Amino acid sequence: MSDALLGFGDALQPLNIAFIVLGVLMGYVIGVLPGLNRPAALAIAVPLSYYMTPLSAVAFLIGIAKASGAGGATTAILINTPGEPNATVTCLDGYPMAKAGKAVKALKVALYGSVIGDVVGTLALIMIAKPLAVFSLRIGPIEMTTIMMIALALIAALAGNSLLRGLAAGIFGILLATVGLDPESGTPRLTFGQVELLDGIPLLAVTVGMLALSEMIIQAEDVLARRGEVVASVPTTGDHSFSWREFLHVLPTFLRSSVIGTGIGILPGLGPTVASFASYAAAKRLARPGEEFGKGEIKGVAAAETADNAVVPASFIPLFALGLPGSVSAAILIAALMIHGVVPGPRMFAEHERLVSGIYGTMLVTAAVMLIVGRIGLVAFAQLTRVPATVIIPVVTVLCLVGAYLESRSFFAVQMTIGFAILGYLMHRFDYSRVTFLIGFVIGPQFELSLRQSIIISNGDITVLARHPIALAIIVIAIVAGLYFLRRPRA
Amino acid sequence: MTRQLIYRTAAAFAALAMALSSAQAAWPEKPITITVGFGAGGTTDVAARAVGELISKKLGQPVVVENRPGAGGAVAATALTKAAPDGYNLVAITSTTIALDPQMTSLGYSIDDFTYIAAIGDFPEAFIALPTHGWKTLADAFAANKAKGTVNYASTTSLDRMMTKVLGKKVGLNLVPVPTKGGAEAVTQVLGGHVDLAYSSGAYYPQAKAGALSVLAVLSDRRVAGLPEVPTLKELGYDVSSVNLILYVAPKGLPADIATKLSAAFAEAGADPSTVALMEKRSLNNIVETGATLENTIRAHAASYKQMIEAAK
Repeated sequence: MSDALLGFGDALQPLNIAFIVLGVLMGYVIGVLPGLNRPAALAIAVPLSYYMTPLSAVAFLIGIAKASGAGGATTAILINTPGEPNATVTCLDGYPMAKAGKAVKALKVALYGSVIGDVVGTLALIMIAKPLAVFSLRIGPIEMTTIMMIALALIAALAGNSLLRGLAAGIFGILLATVGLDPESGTPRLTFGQVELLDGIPLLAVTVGMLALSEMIIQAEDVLARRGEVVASVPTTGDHSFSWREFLHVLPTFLRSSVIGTGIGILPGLGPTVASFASYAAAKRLARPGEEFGKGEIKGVAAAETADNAVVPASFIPLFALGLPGSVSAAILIAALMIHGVVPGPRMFAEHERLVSGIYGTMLVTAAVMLIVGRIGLVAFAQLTRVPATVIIPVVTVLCLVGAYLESRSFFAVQMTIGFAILGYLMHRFDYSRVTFLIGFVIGPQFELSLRQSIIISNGDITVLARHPIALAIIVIAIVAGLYFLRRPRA
Repeated sequence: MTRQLIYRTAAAFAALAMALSSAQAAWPEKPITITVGFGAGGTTDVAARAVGELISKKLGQPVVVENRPGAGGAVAATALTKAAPDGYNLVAITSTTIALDPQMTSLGYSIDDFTYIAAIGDFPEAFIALPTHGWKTLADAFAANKAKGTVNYASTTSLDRMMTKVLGKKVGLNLVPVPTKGGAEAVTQVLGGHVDLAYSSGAYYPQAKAGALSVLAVLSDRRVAGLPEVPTLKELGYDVSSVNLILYVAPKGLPADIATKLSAAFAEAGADPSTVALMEKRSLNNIVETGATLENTIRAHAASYKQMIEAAK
């Protein structure tokens, strides 16, 4: 007991708070800047953390991991360019809000949603990590396959103006995701002898190219169409307040999205991008009359931003309870702990109780720091709307290319990013949804792997489903959800 | 005119030769880069950074550690074959990246494209299962499933697939690999009871120490220091083994004097108490090999993998 209290005390040490602030600032900047992503930021930060004490290292890394997710919404709302892939759906309602003069309101909802999601995920980690982790072990390949089926049903929910073109884009995404080594035989598929393609098309090249860089082409075209006449794309005046009444109105969305994000975070292989898609789709289908998702609905921003931030702390649950990382952030945290001689796993709490409660305390402090830094930063970021597109476009373009290079330190990734930017532009022009493409691309490989695992384990015998009640229940939900998404045409 | 040109050219060559030889004598005169073929935070990365720091102290030049992950180290290895053999470009990968992978997939390099500097540390690869089965060793697991004829296991690499094919032939069982994304997922599949066994290169260790997993056999030639009671495959009577080392290589054609200096610096770093402690924490066997001995080891590995590939067919 006293060790636990001492641990929380450690979290409040000035030095520890300094590292949290440092991490949050760095994470926010990385999150805001399109092209520079969390994995790249963590890859740079990990070697630095080797020289810190265990708790400082963890504080620094957690600050980066959490704040980069929250920062990603800023450019999504202000310039329709997600700073992080998980802010993709934030664009759908955030940018229309900004165009309607509600930019600051949207930024506030995104910030509060991020912090609420983060706190709920963190509380789940602190209070019910063990039972949740034990439950997550029961999710085997067969259950995962059925969960992936629900995730693919999201394509129908987020298909854009045309269901058919939305599905086509989604299937194209799944197809491109098959590039790389076959998971079962190890045979290269569609790699054309390129070593760089053996691990598949890099996710960063797809997300940065398709979402950020292609948006710059679209906006540049717009500027040219106006013959260089500089017009701020987003009005700087308008309704900027976020009232208590509005907060209560959005609260159910905040809470539901937190639960969705936490649930997805516990399962390995899904991640924040899927969480924001799922949460947005749920909010959209539960919309009340008068709520127009895709046209500046405040709940849309809340749903996307809350869920993806709940994922980060929730993905630490398998790490703390079982010693197994559920995400890239968690894997990097393992490294930070191991270098200092702390082995994450079932015995960590007994052997390093003070450190574990210090980490828990640090995570809660990080949420508070995020709120403060985000609230101050919001005032500054809102000025972005005053920057003309002729400045934003070249700056973001350079950032995208630098970000692509940093990830793998190869020119190949830069070429891929440019290629996907052109593809994204063409898809935009012909009204094929880039969102459903991304869902297909992200979920495809996990669906394939889980399905093939299930077939091997069950020897191809579909009746084994009878012994998997969780999977059966999920299949029923997937079918109902799929029919529901298809039946109700878009608002 | 012509004569003058010849003199000038000769003088230029002489100057160049002197410059080159003095450059070699002065090695290292600028920072050395170690490119890790895996992501930041993985076992190879952590080991390379620790070793890099010791090397830097020994040679008096900074050592820059970069990550270039992809295709099990093959991306970094391919890039190295295009780098200059000047002693400033090294790559940290696993020995299977060179000894096995080019035999399995068509890659842009072969075992002859490198100068072998050092190997420090051996992964504690093992077969694991849930303790509730009551299996003490791999032989028990095979015996228990003899009637059924098949055992499935969570697989992570082409190495384990090839190995279990050979093993399966020896014991008359069908060992069915269930592909996974990596070590952590393989351990999760066993803990959740979704597969019978798993191959794991080290992620199992904390769970095994806590008693939540049984380690049935280690794949190396010698037992793992942290699990002295677990037999090797060879001890169980299956005449196969796999040793996967953390390997440091330079491009082919590295001048012998630089290679010698590098190998000496790595050998010293490998024997340093801080490295020994790190290996123990990461449950790696503390093996250090350098130079010609190491090259012979890697070539022997490649030859035995070749035999295994033939036997698995």
